[in-house]
Amino acid sequence: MTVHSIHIFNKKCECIYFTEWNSAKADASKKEKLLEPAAEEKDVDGDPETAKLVYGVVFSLRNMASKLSNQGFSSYKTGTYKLHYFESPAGPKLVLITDPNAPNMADTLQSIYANVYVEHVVKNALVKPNTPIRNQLFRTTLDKYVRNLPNFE
Amino acid sequence: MAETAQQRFVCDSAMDFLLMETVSLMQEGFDSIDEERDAAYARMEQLGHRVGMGLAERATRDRPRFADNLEVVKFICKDFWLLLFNKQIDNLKTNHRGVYVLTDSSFKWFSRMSADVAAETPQLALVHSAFPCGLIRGALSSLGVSSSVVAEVAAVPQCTFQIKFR
Repeated sequence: MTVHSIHIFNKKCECIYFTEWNSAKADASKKEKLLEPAAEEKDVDGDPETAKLVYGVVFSLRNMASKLSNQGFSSYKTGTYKLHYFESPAGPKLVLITDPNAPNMADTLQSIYANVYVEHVVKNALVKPNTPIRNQLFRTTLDKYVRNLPNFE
Repeated sequence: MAETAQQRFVCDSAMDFLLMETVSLMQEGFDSIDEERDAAYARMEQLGHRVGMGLAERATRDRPRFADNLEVVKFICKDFWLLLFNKQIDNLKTNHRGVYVLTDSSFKWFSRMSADVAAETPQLALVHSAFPCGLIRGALSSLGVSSSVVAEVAAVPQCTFQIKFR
C-alpha cells in the first residue's frame, strides 16, 4: 500500500498543506524531486489548481452523500487510486490519496489530525491559524508518521 | 478547595491558548517589528509580575520565612515551578554573588513551538519568555527580594532564566 499525497484544507476552502510521497503519475523526473518532500519548498503551494479540483470533488461528494443517506462521505475508489476524506469537527479537512488496495484509513486520518496537526499547528504559538503550514516540526512529524504506516513503500 | 485531576487538565490547555493569544494581542498597534517585540515584551513582563506576586503569596501561605536568598531561589526552582508546570527546574547555577541561572530543558510553553525556518524559532520564542520572566520577578518581589530576570532561548524547548539580585 502506498500513500500518494495528502491535502489539508482550512475552513475557508484554501489548501494550507500539501505533500506528495510517490506520485500517482508515471512521471520519472517528477518522481525524483518528490522523494525528498521535506526539502521541497514548493510542496506547500504545490499545485493550486489540483488542490481546488480536489476540494471541489470532496465538497460535492459530501453534500451528495448527506442528501442520499445519514452517513457522511468517507472515501472513494477508482481504478488507479483511492481517496480518503476526514473532516474534523473544528474545521480542517484532510484528504489522503493512496493506491486502490488500501484499507480503511479513517483511523489513520483521525490520528494524523489529533497527533500531528493539533499538536504542531494548533498548539504552536508561532503559527497564525488558517495560514499555509510551513513549519519544520509539522512537516517532519507528518513525514515520519506516514512513512511508519504499515506497508508504506 | 479541592481540584480533581480532570479540572486541572482543562485549565492547562485553556491557559496555554490564552497566553499565546495574549502575546499576539500585545504586539498589535505598532509599526515596526522591533517596536512590536519590545512593547509586547514589556507588557507581558508586567503582567507576569502581577501574576507572580499573587501566586507566590498563595503558595507560601503556610510556610515560615525564608532564611536567605538561596532559599528563595530554591523555592522558585522547586515549589513554584511545580505549581506552574508540574515539574521542577532542571538545573540551577550560581556565582554566589547574586546571580542565579535557572535552566529548564523542556519548557512547557515552548514544547510545541516551531517556526517556518527552524533557525528562527529561538528568536520568535523570546517574546513568549517575557511572561515567565515576569512571573519569577513578581514571585521574588512578593517574597521581599528585588531583582531583574532575563531569559535566553538557545534552542526550543530549552529555556534559561538569569536572575540578578539588586
